[in-house]
Parts: sequence; C-alpha cells; structure tokens
Amino acid sequence: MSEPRPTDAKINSDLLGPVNKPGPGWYATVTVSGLVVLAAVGALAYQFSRGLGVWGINRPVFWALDITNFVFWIGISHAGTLISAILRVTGAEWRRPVTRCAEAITVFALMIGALFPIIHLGRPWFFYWLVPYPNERGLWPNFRSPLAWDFFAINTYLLGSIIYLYLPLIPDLALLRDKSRGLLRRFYGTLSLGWRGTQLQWDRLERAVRVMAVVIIPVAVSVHTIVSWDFAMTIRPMWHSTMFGPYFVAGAIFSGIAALILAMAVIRRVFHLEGYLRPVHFNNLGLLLLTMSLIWFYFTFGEYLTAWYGNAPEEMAVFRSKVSGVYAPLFWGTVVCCFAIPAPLLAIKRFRTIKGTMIASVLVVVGMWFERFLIIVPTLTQPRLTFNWGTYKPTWVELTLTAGTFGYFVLLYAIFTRLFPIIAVWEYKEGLPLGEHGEATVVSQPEVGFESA
Amino acid sequence: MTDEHKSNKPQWAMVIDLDRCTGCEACVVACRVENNIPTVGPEEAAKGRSINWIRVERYFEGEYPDVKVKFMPVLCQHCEEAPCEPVCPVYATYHTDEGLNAQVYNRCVGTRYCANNCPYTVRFFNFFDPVWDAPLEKALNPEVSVRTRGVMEKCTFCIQRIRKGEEKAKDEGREVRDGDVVPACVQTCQTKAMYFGNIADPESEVSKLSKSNRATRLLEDLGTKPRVIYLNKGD
Amino acid sequence: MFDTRAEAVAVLRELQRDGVPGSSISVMSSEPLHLEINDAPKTRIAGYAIAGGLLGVAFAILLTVWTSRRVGLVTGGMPIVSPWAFGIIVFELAALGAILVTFGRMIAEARLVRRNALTDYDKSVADGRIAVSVRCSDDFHREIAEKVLGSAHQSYGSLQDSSNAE
Repeated sequence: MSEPRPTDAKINSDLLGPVNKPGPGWYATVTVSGLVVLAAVGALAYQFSRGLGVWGINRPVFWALDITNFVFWIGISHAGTLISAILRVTGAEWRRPVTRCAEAITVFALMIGALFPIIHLGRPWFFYWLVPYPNERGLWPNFRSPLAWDFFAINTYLLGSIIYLYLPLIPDLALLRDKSRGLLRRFYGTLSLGWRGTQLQWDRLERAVRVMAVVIIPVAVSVHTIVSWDFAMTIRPMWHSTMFGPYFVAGAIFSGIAALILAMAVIRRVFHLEGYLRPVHFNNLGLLLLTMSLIWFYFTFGEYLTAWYGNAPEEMAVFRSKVSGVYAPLFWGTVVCCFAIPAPLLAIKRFRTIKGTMIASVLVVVGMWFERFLIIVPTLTQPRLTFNWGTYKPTWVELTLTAGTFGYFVLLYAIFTRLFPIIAVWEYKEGLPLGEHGEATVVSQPEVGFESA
Repeated sequence: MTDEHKSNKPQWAMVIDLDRCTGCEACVVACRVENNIPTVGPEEAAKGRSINWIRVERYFEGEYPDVKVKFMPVLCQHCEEAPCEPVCPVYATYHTDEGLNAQVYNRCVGTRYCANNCPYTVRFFNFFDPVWDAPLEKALNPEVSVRTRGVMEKCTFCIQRIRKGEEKAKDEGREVRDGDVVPACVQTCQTKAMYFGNIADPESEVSKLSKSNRATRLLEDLGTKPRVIYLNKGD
Repeated sequence: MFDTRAEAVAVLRELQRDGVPGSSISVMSSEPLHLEINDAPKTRIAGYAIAGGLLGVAFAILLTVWTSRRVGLVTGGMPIVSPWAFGIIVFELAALGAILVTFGRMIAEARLVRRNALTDYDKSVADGRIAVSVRCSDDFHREIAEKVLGSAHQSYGSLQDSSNAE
C-alpha cells in the first residue's frame, strides 16, 4: 500500500471514537446483555437457595452443562494467547490491530470460565477450601487432585492474562489521560502509572511484553491441558485417553480463534473500524481457523478410531451412543459444524471473506460447545456396571446460566470497549511506515504474503 | 502403587456369597434405616437421584421361559487403591489405617469428582436437603450424622458399629474378635450370604472365605484392589 | 518539542556528539521510535524473570511437600509426596513467579508509579509530537544542551519552548 500514513490525530480520533462517543448500538447491546445476565443471576440465586437438585444432573451424570460451560469458556480464552503471544514472538506484523481484541477476550472468557468451579459445587460457600491457606485445623488442599491443579493453572493464567492485557494498555491509558479532563483524567492517570513515553520506558515495556509472551504460551498450553486432565486422569471409558491434553488445547485454540473473528467482525462494523480491521486480518485468521479445524478433525478421528478398533465393551458402549445412538444427531452435527462446513468454506479463497469467516466462526463456536458436551455427558451416562446407566436432560436453570455466560461476556466486552481503545493505538502506529520526513527504518505494512480479498 | 501401609489394626473386608443371595433387598432396607439415608421421593428417584448405599443389581439372562436372574449386591468396595480418593481436591475422602475408604461429610464441598471416578458407581450425592416426613424423623439413628445437601455419601462399612465393636473390645482388654462387628446389611441378610471381618486375621471367616476357589472381586483388572469379595460359582 | 522523527533524531545525534550522556536525555513519543541512544542503562528484566520463576519453583515445592506431609492422609495408594502431581503445581507457580516479577521489575526500571513521574511532559506528545528533554547535572552539559536545543528550536521553528534544561 502506498497511501501516506494517516495523521496521528486521525488515528487517535478513529480508535478513541468508541470510547468517547458510543452509538445507540452500544446502549442496546449493554441493555440486552445486562438483562440476560440478570436472568442468570436470578437462576443462580434460586440454585443456591434450593440446591443443585434444580439442575438436571443426577446419578450417574454428575457433571453436565456446568462443566461443559467451564471447559468451553476456558477454551475460548485461548484466543488471546495464540494471537497476541505467538504472533508477537514470531514478529508477525499483521497482529497489531488484533492483539488487544484478543487479549480482552482471554481475560473475560477466563473470568467466566473460572466461575463454574465455584457455582457447580454442592457447597459453594466453602469454595475457598481449595485455596492453600494456613488454618488452625491444619487442613490443606489435596495437590494430587486435578481440580487443585485447575485452581493453580487458571489463576496463574488469569493473573498473567490480566497483566499481559494491562502492560500494552499503559501507553494507551496515557493517551486517554492526555485527552480527557476531570475525573476521567484522574482515572486514566492513575491507571497509566505516570507513563511519559520516554524511549527507556518503551524499551522496558516492549521487553517485558516479550518476556510475558514467551512465558504465557506454555501457561496457556498447560491450562487447557490441565482442564482436559480433569477427565483424562479418571478411569472412565473414553475419558482416560493420553491424547486429551493436545486434543483439548487444539480445540481451545480452535474455538478461541472463532470467537476472535466474531468479536473483530462485530467491532469492525459497530465502531466503523473498516480501515484498521481489514480483509487481510480476516483472511489470515481464517487460514488459522482452517488449520485448527483440520487439527481438530485429526484428533477427533484418532480418538474415535482407536476406541472403535480396540473394541473394549465399556468404550464401545459410549462410542455407539455417540456415533449411532441417542447422541448421534448432536455428534454428527458437531462434525458438520466444526469441520464439514467450515473447512471447505475457509479453504476456498473466494469464500474466505469477512462474511465467510464469520459464518464459519459461528458454526465453530456452536459446534465446539456441543463437542464439550459430548465429551462429558455420554461417558457419564454409561458407567461400567451397566445396571447404573442413566440419561440426562438439562433444566431451565442450567440453560439460563449458559445463556447468562454469553450475556456476561458480551456485557464485559462492551464495557471494555467503552473504557479503553479496542485497537492498541501505539502498537498500530508503530507498525505503520513513517511519513515523508523520517527514515523508513520501521517495519513494513501489515500485508504479509496474502492478497486482500 | 506404593507398598502396603503396614498396620496392626484390623483390616476390614466383606464377603458376599452370590450363590446364596436371593435378591430380597433386606440389606438395602436395613442399611437405610441404620445410616439415616434419605428417601428422595418418586420424582427425584425417576430422575436417578435415589440413594442406596447398598443396592442389589439384577441382570437377566436368556429369554422366557429359560430366564436366569443374577443378583449382585453392590456397595462401596473400600478399594485399597481407591480411584475416588486422589481426585478429591479437599481431602474429603481418604484411606484409613484400617483399610476403610472414609468420607468426611464436613469437609466435602461437593465437586462430585469422586463419584465420577468410582468404577462401581457406589457414591451418592445429596441434591437437595433430606426430608423425613413426620414421624419418620423419630427413627433416625443418633449414632450416624444426617447429611445436608451438597455433600457426597456412600457405604462406610457401618463405621459407627466398627467403632463400637473396637471400643467394647478395648474396654474388655482384648483384641477385636470375629463377630464383634456386624454391619447392618450383614446382620439382616436372611440367607446368611454376607460376612464381615478382619481379613488380616487368618482365623476370621472372611479371611478363610477369601481363599475359596469361588472367590472373585468386581472389576479386578482395574487394579482398585477392592475389599469386597464375591463368592460365585457362576451358575 | 518536535514534529517529526527526523528532527528529533538529528537533535539527539548532535547532543550525543557534543558529549551529553545518553542516560540523561529523554525522548518522549506516543509510539516507540527505536532510536539508538548511547549509554542507555542496561536492563535486567530477563534475569529477574528467571529469578521469579525459580522463586515460584521453590515456593511450590515447599508448599506441596510440607502440606501433604503435614496432612499425611493416604489417597488412592499414591505416595504422600507425589512428585508427578506436585510437579504441575511447581510449573504453574514458576510461571506465576516469572510473570509477577517481570511486571514488578518493568515498573521499577521504567520508573513508573512515582510521584513526579510526569515531569517534562507535554500533552501534545499524544498527538504525535516528540519531546526531547535533558537532565543536566552540571553547567557544562547544561550549556551544550541549551545550545543544541536552542538552535534546533530556531531551525525547526517548534511551537513550544518546553525544550529546557535544568
């Protein structure tokens, strides 16, 4: 692209626009999602007062939608890390307008996912017993339990992601501080920690972000691996699989990228950021999504082939219920939503447009939610002693809570875009070539290798 | 996984003779009376939430009129290497030095992970607070706690009776003898199909029966090392 | 105050050529300029990150081993100290240690969170202008700074004269 670089003032006003002047769409979004969240809070209060019996869980299906949502949202949280960290570490320039969008998804999805280990407890008011703290009874958590691993992994990832979101946000907070007055100026001023933009500070910031990116990649991989080990460490048929670690990480990145594409598409339209979130970004993310779809299919195929080929009776019972039995419609629907439609859609260049990637992403998000459900419930319905086989049906409480998670996510995200610029202003500027005056030592335009559609 | 924890305490075990079991379920009734097990009601039972620390599983073979029915009472196997124990994040279930799988109601936060990892499906969850319609609450056993909602429970080998038997023996200045401790199910069984005792004592009935050529364990290949031995000639 | 990167670079070069140490020059901008400043202070962030990781490892080992010994309950026949399982906690706390210490060290090295953090700063940096300020500890440097920045002011005609030396 040989356009002259837009002025800083224009970039500022474009990217700070949503913060300063939200449109009616923003208010509508906040209202609707707020109402959904309220409904979910009501359902939660009902559940806390009456007991977990208001859910559809039973013996032997002791986990269902609660853990489905838990795994799903932790999975979505892998968007930020992949895009932001891996692309930063590899120096991919096209990531610049996308990083904060992704990092915000991670933080909010994690916050939502982390709620479920608390609200699914029989006695949630004692959730803090999973925290190692000294007490006069000498009681400590059992570190051998994968749930204890979950506690540490998710908290590390959450703290890490918040810091990873916050660090590159500091210069933009300074920008907002300089552009606002009164109480807002104090608010941004405190949050920006007195940032001046000296080259020393830039250097330290970029170094710290680079260190964080390197550290947070293995953390992210470990988090969803550990979540998968909640299942794989058991001896249940079709749970006790050595592949679950990589399988779940791949699935997480898969659903995370889909969520990112959707978030970007919405933001682009609602905030008129067509000049910044361009077809090339959707094209590149679409290619990543295609890759993950293929990887997901590879793992799924491997899981089911080994179960079928091994022909162990207890595994075949679960296998059959998914492939040809009661859960068959959901199972094959998942395969269609996660692979059969998105893969060709994303592979063909003509369809890999913004709209095309959006459609693929919606299908993937829906498909992956059901995929988590299908990993959890069919195994639980068929324990080894066949006398105890059971069924499961969700109740309105669980469905409302599920809807509430989506509402909560949208709400948090909307509030975030109102307070902070959703595209990292300084990072975007850094990636543009310099104007006529300066030495063109800075990196090239973010059009690496692929044609814009 | 590790060497056996050497202990000179009694190692409790149970033997169930499937060739004597008639499937009458007297043991099921006795257990719920002894251990304050709540009745959840027909709607909840239909959803699969009834609690039976011991249950009689029925398996039908063949077609009418050549039908055979197999009855198998299943209760917590008190596995020596219980898969339910390591997965509890708060140590609400652990292995005692007498070989019991203990469930600590006060510590349980209700993650239900233990139930998911039990291959025998012998763990039960209180989905709601228990209700005893009057005057049934007068029949509650004062030696057993009543569990609230949100807490896991299962067969304890009638640990309250174990403690009583051990205390009696200690008062009398002797070791626990075979027959000192009789869980409710064993006590009630009409056909004397159930035995209970110290398997570390070579003179005890359970010890001798466990060496019978009819002796098997349930799901033995999983490596859980259950302490419930089934005698089954298979026919 | 300067409007373009080239102007700021030229002034910077002149200042350094005349002997002003790099550690006393501050160039403030709204995006990283990737200039080469001599005598820039060295960073220790990576070292601190590793140290933070090791701290996390030590803490995790202490926590898991000491508490599981103290509780002393047998679960599933696993050893009281289960290295494989505890290793996961060690990994996570190592990462957490590295993250927190990196964050802290960065704040310290960038001299953020200080009372007089915003000295010599001008809001127009936010609009893309570049500010150059020099902290002088003695009169010799002050004269050089005043000369260089003063002439730059004349030749580039910057609007604001906040290019003052102390």
